Formats: sequence, structure tokens, C-alpha cells
Amino acid sequence: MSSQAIRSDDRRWRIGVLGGPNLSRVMLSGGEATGDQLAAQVVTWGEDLGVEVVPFQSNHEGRLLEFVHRENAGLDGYLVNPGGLIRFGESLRHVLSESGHPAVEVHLENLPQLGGESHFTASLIGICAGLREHSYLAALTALTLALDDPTFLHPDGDAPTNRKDGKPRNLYGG
Amino acid sequence: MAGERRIALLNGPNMSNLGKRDKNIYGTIESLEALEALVVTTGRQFGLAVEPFHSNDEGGLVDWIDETVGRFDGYVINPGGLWAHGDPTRLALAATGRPVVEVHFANILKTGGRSVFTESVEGTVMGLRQFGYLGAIAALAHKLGEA
Repeated sequence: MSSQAIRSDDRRWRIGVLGGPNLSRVMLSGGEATGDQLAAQVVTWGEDLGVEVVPFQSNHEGRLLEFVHRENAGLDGYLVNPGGLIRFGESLRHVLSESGHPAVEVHLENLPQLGGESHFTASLIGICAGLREHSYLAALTALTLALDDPTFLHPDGDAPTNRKDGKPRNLYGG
Repeated sequence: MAGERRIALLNGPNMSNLGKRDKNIYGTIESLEALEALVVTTGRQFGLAVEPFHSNDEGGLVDWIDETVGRFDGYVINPGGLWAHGDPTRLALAATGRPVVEVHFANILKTGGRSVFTESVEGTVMGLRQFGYLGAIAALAHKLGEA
């Protein structure tokens, strides 16, 4: 079934899908795979939704930063699995936070440490974790639908509830 | 209907107030009924039969999970404020042995707190308003289809 049927827009969003250190080899539902194989699966899910996935994985944080510097103007949002940068990846967190686009954090595992140890979650719009490779599918589906919504993440929306810059609201105020 | 996967959709305290809540967090969806209808319809498109339930009391959620054990292939739960302390609900879900995805409209982790559900649920989806539920449904449909 084409997932485009659940969308409210047909715009071909461009979504950067970033993978940090240690994601050149990953454990998926079917066993061990390469980062490239995972990226190819995410690209296919993007096609099914009618969006363009632009994947990039590097074990070097500087290369991830340079990808964002170079590509940001032509992208509409991001999925980011920080990999080994989860605890201390301040430079990557910062460049995504100031990108002006929404970014969703993705993890293969549901880490109980998420609330305490991810340096990213409080800066990004949301998170999808714990569903192995399907965490990427959940994030891509939800982000696509949210970008379609002028009252949420659509870049042309101007409702007071719009969050096109990707900055999350705090339940406790602020 | 043979072979159709069944998913429980649980919503906890304050979710029946959807439509009158802070739109900066909850967006513009009109009501809990509209949310449930959206998830049921989307589930159908992915080949899942979604059955919704809501309670403003934790005991109501625990009773229903107990009563319906064995009926479902998976669970999507927005525990509402129970994210901070809802061990009875967390344990009832863990006892089903089925995959559970915790969903929140808001990015709960931005408060600096962490959800008690994280340690035993399979998946976490936060911050994408009602679309997080639909992402969870898509993920469960693919996951169960492969099983």
C-alpha cells in the first residue's frame, strides 16, 4: 500500500537522514546490516510516502556538520540518529537546533537512559526510538505528515501553533 | 478478518479534554474522538484493526488491559501524566507480552524528566502531536507483517 494515501499534501519534502559514529554497522530485525543497507531501506520508505530521503552517515562529527552547512537550504527537515554522539554531541545538536528546520531524533533501541543521557532530545522537535529499523519509518511517517500540516511544521504555515523552526515546547512552560 | 492484526489504542488522564487543551502543545485536533477516528482509519489502511479505549483513572486502564489480555497483537499508549509515575499501567502492559509503543503529543523529555514507561515498552514516539500515533501504527504494521 502506498503511504501517500494517508497524506494531506503531495509536496515532495526533502529529508536529511543523518547517522553518527558507530552506525556503519547496525543490528536490525533481520540481523546485522551495514549503514548503507539501512539507508537504502529508509530511502525506499521515503519513496513510498512521496518524499525524498537524503542519507548521510559518518564516524566523523565534522563531516556531519559540513553536510548540514552544505545541504540545509535545500532540505525541509531531518532524522538524526546520533549514534555514539548521543551523550556529548554538542556541535551536531547545535547546528541542527539553529538550522531553522525540524529534526526528529531516531534510535534503533529504546534506551532507558534517553531522558538522562541524550544531549539531543530537549533541543529537537521529537524522538522515535526502540523499534529497530522501524523507528526510522515511524519518524519519517510522522515528520512527513507534520510537514504537510500548516498548523504544525509546514514551512509556509503562519498559525500561532506552527513550529517550522523545529523548536519543541516544554510542558512545564517555555 | 482471519489473520488481521489487532492493536489496542490507549489514552490516559486528560486526553478526553483534547480540543480544550493548550494548542501550542496539542495542536488543532478537535477532540479525543477525532484522534481515535484518525488512528482507526489509518490503521485500517495499514491492515490493522485498532480498538480505542480511554480512562482518566489509572485503575480504569489497568482493569481494561487485564480484561482484554490475549485480544491484541500490540499496544499504542499515550499514558498522559502517568508518564511520570504510572508503574501499575506499565506493568500491566508488560505482562501482556506484546509490543507496546508509548506515544506523546509533546516532547516530554524537554521537561528534563524521563518516562517510567521507557524501561519496559518497546518503542517511544514523542513530540509530533497526533502524527506520532500514525508513525507508531506504520511501524507496528511493518513489524507485525514481518513476524
